[in-house]
Amino acid sequence: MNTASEGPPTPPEGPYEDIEALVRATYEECHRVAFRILGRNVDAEDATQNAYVRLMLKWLRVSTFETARRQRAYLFKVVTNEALQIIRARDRRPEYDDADMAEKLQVPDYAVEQVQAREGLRLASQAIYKLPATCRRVMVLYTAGYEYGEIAGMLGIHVSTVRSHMSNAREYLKGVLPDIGEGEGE
Amino acid sequence: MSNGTHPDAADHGDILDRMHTQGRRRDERVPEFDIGKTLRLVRAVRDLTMRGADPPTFWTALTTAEQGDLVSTAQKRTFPAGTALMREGERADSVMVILDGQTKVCIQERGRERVIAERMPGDFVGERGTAPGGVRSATVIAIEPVLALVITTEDFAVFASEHPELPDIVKQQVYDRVTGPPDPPG
Repeated sequence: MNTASEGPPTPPEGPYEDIEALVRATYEECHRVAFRILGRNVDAEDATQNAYVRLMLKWLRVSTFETARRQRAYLFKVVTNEALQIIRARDRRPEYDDADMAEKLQVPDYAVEQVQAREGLRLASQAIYKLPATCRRVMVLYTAGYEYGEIAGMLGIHVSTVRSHMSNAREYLKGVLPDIGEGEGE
Repeated sequence: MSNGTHPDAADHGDILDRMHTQGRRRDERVPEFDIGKTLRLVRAVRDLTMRGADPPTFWTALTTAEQGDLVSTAQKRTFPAGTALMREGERADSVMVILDGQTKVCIQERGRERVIAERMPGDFVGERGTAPGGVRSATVIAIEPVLALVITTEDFAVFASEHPELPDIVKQQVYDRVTGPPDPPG
């Protein structure tokens, strides 16, 4: 309800006929989600392509979804996973330094609490992999700048579910980030 | 945990909110997305899937989940007709899986090029890149425009370790070609 007026163009009622129709109708939004999570276009393109390949490989199942809305929800779920996987691969690679980490996690360079925030986010980015899948996806979409209503619309879940996942995520992060700002950031 | 007035406590919640604000800001500078590349990739995967396992290839020996993971791990590269995917004597720091387009495998013999094999979509090339320190044993040329997955030696090792259940046929195919001499046709 709350996203109906602001959201993307309404998809057709029934499911997309084939993968190409789905790609053409959704690629802008799918890439936008990936870019807002990842912040770097090469990575956003990669996540987008990977997501569509996954849908193609699962097309036998995805084509049986009753509505385009459900197919889109599945797409957003998959592209969020792919973006997270790219973040994870970046973490494995030593060439990404603090600046990249800050860029990836969207900390503004001009932030006064930059160092503290980076340290916190470094911990947070590792901690989120321990969250249950839906909770993790909700949190990642929130950090990509989407509002609760938008996230609900994207993932095809109720806004109250989004709210409770977010409150779980915040509660969880409080537990794993105990020392931020207490001398760590000097 | 103290609440409200304590700056540390504020930080915990604010990390997500700060990221949220940054993510939202990114929305204004989402670059254009090249849908052509994605469509080509998705079509190639669809064609491979529809062709089935006849003839069996590296690709068809994988489950759809493994195929998806392989694509996510790989760089997607295109090679115009007539160009080399790899050259004999070069350092073998990656392996490739051809998704689209025919290729020929050649070696230099007394200053002349001899074609020793052909590789088609679904095939694995560059086996020497499965282990570090290898050198290319042959040159692979694109006969027509080629789309290939390029996986670094490092990433392929990670992929293999994360998929210990990779079918023997895959390992066998790779192993045979690494150890066996290039067999001349006839």
